[in-house]
Amino acid sequence: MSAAVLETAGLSAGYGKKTAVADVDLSLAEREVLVVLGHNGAGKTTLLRAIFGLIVPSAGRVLYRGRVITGRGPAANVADGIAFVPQGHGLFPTLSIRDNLGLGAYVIDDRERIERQLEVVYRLFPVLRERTSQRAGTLSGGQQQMLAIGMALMHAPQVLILDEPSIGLAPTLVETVMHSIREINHQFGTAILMVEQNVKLSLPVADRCLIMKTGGTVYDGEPGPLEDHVELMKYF
Amino acid sequence: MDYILYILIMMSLYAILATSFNLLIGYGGLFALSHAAFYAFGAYATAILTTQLGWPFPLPMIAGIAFSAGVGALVALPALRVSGVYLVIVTLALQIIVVQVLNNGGTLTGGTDGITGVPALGIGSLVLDSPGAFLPVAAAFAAVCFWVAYRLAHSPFGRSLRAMRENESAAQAAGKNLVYMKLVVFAFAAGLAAVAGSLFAHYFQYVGPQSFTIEETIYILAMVIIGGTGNLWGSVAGAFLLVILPELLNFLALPSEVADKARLLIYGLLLIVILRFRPQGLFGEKASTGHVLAGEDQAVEPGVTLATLQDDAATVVGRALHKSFGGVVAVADFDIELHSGRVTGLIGPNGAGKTTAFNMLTGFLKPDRGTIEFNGRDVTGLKPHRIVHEGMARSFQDLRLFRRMTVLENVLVSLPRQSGDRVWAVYLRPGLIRREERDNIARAMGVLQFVGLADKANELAEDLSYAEEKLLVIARLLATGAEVLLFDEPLSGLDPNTLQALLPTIRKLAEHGKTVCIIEHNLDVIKGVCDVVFFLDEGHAMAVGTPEELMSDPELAARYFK
Amino acid sequence: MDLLLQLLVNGFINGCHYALLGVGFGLIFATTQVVHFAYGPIYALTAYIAWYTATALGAPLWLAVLIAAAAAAVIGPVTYLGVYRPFQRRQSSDLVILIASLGLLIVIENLIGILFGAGSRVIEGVNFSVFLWGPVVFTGVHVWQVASLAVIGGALFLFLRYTRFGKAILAMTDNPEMARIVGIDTRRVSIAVFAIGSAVAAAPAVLVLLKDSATPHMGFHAVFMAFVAVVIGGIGSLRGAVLGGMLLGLAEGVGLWGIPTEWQSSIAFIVLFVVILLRPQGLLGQRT
Repeated sequence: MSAAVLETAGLSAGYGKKTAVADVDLSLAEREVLVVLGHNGAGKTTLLRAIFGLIVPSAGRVLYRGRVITGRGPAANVADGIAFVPQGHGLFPTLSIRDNLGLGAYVIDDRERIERQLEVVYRLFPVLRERTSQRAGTLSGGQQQMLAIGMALMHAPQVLILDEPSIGLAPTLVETVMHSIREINHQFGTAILMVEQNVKLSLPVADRCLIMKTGGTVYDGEPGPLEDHVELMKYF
Repeated sequence: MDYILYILIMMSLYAILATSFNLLIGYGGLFALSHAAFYAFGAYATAILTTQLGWPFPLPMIAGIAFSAGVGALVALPALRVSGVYLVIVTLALQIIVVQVLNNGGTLTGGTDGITGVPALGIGSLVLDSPGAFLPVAAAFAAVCFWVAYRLAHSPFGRSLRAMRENESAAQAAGKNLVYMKLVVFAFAAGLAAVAGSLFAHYFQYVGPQSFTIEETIYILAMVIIGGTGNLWGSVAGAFLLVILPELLNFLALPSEVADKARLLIYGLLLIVILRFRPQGLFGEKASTGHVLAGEDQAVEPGVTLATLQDDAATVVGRALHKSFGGVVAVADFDIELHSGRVTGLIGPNGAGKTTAFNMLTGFLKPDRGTIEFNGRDVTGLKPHRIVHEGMARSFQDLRLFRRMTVLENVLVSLPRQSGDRVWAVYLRPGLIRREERDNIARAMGVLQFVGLADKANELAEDLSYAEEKLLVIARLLATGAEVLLFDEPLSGLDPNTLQALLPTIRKLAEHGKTVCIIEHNLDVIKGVCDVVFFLDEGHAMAVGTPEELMSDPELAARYFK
Repeated sequence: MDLLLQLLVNGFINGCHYALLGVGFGLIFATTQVVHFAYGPIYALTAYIAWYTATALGAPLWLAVLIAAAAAAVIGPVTYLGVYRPFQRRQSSDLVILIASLGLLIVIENLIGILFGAGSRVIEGVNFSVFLWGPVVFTGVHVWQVASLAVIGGALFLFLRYTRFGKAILAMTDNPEMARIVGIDTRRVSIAVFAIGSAVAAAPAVLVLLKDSATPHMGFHAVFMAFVAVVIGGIGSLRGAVLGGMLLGLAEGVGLWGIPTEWQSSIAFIVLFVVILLRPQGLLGQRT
């Protein structure tokens, strides 16, 4: 079993009085794809945001390669190789694709490195190269999602955290996005932590599955048994 | 001595100005930066009508009040469509225009020189042209204006006003008429300010545009903020404080031009400091009910009336409902039935149309096609507050509690048919209002007992725990007296233990004959509480049955996770 | 006809003035969501500082302008760090911050009065060339007013679009949370934006000082027009602020043809009212 590249121990977090995540243990191994499922309001998005440092956890720890990184802001995480693709509008609508991607690499000062990574992203998502000067806000839903993922890849992260990348997309586009995520995992060895609502199309990509319910975890294991949907419903 | 009298007279004027401004921004939450303009209307109306037409007191003052109230009501109209920053700039523009008009009004307004020779206030043969004579009148007017504002603020209307301030959609869902409230509060605030203006004109026997600029509005604003928004005594204290302030500076013996500016600079600083360190002001907001004791001496009425359980007739029937948003069909040919004594659940994958269906049933969205019947009556397309009056009420997923009001007030606001919501009744039928208030408090306590929050009646909603907040949402809905209760994720975000503890409360509602419908994403809640479940997908009902039936169906499960 | 042409040209020139004010104010508003009413008195303060440096200290005009702009670039961030940011950190509502800004407006306005006295200040002995274009007359100051929009606005545009930090600023106006997520230091950006936005106001301030005078009340009128320009043009759009400002200036100019001078501000109100009614997000605004 590979060492955990990202893990949480007893993590709790919430907003104001509401505890959305209660005492969650999570472990993401090197090169692993971990998919987090659960009903709306189970705390999945809060979990990701607490791990990435957008909100400060109320209890517990977050560890990256064994080092404690609990509650440190996004800037430090990005510099350390952790990228986050938020739900919905994870880009800058009035700026061009090229500028958006450039901003994804904001923490990197090395122009050559940025250019090289840009090439990598363009090869993965050719449509972005075609429309490089188009304003991001005018792209279609699927293209926007590809851009958002591309932005996260710009600093060659070792861990990629995604919050519902399939949201609002038609099934064929979701397949494309899932395919790209699998590519990223295989080609670059990036470990993936992904929250998803679309069970059907995300389970095939998962190495392991975590299911959250009312702030806690109710399943942590192989995706196989979850293909029985009636069984799966019990966890929702 | 004359100087002290002058100070007291100014305090009286500013007490009127600050309390009226507080009604608008503190109670109504309507941030209108045009108060000095209303002040000016009163002053100039008096100046013009006395010097040019020789009208005797109190006619010019009455005319000023009427004019100011009229303009105030007009300003309320854009306030209906815009809020926040937009309302600020629109009212700011009004303030500027009024000063401009005064500066350029030629012979009518006296232009930049203003109008001199305004006669002193005369009542009969008495002419009050000295500070000593004027003070009692000024103080009397201040007392009357304060009483007018106080009655309004502490009436059920005032409570509904504060609810509107806290959350407009929730106030609407509780059956409040927002248009009426905004018009009334603007008219009152403007009218009262005009009284102060009229007094100004009679006292100084001069009016000029320099006294009614934006700086004056900010000065009055500072009084309200420092005294405490939502507390009228605070506004009086704020007026007192800021009028006294320059006197304290006299001890520093600054040259006069600097002294003036130093005074203003200090109150600007004071405003920032208070906002930063004590934003509620010197005096915090007070509940309209005072402290209510949930003991034996407090009459409690069973809050939930037992409905006569008829034969299982459906209370709500939705037929062939259809709704699309710009080409995307959210709900298509949707049929639903809700029965009394039952809890009905709506489940389905994301985007199935559950929330849209819900919003249609409760009047927040108008169906493109299809009908909704309630007890045989067609209620399709009625506005939310009308639907509440018919007997169908909803809660919101994001709670929308009236946070700076007490638990009891939250419930009181939701009680239907309060005469105290009508302004004429507030002033002309105080006995009736008092009686209704007593009965309503008893009813509200009954509701709170039903959900188990009676001992928290005097707590502010924002101080409750999350689980208690959820209970308050249920209580507010119950209070409307609605027969049909539609809950949007009533138990979301709760930990498993609290959730189990709260399930019985929802079942109790059905046991008491209510028609309950809930949307929930946590299937444990659906299993634990629902008698019948509608499975929605692609905008219509795919299946209807018990939770167990639907959740063990492989095809539906596949749909749920598609 | 001649009069109309003159009014149009005047309107255009004033439009440039309002546009530049709108850009400074709008930059701050779009990036930090602060309605910076104190922007007005800071603008006035730069005029007074320029006057003081030029007359009392005898500095050449260009130096006076630079010193005034530098002062503004310092005062702006001080107001952010000293007043606005503490409120933002406690998650105060936008309206509370707006009221604090009004308090700040009073403080700075009266500070100007204490430091420089209540009267208006003029720089003596500056002569401007007069230009004649057919029936239209304008002077060197007016040329400078138009030029400053072109130069400063243009420089700002290039800075925002083509430098790394400029793009970070645009990113933050576009999507503040995403800016945080990619690692942009939003505090640093806010400070920079307050500095730039305030410094931008120095040019229009000094030009007004030269054209007419520095008066204690000039600040409030300026921030009001800037606010209206931004609302008309669309909150969040700098191009919108320019468009809004130009529209205001031209509307005022043309409006004067029928309406007496005294009613100028009503024109701003009418344009504002119409835009809010018909297109509440502003002409070029994108937020719903």
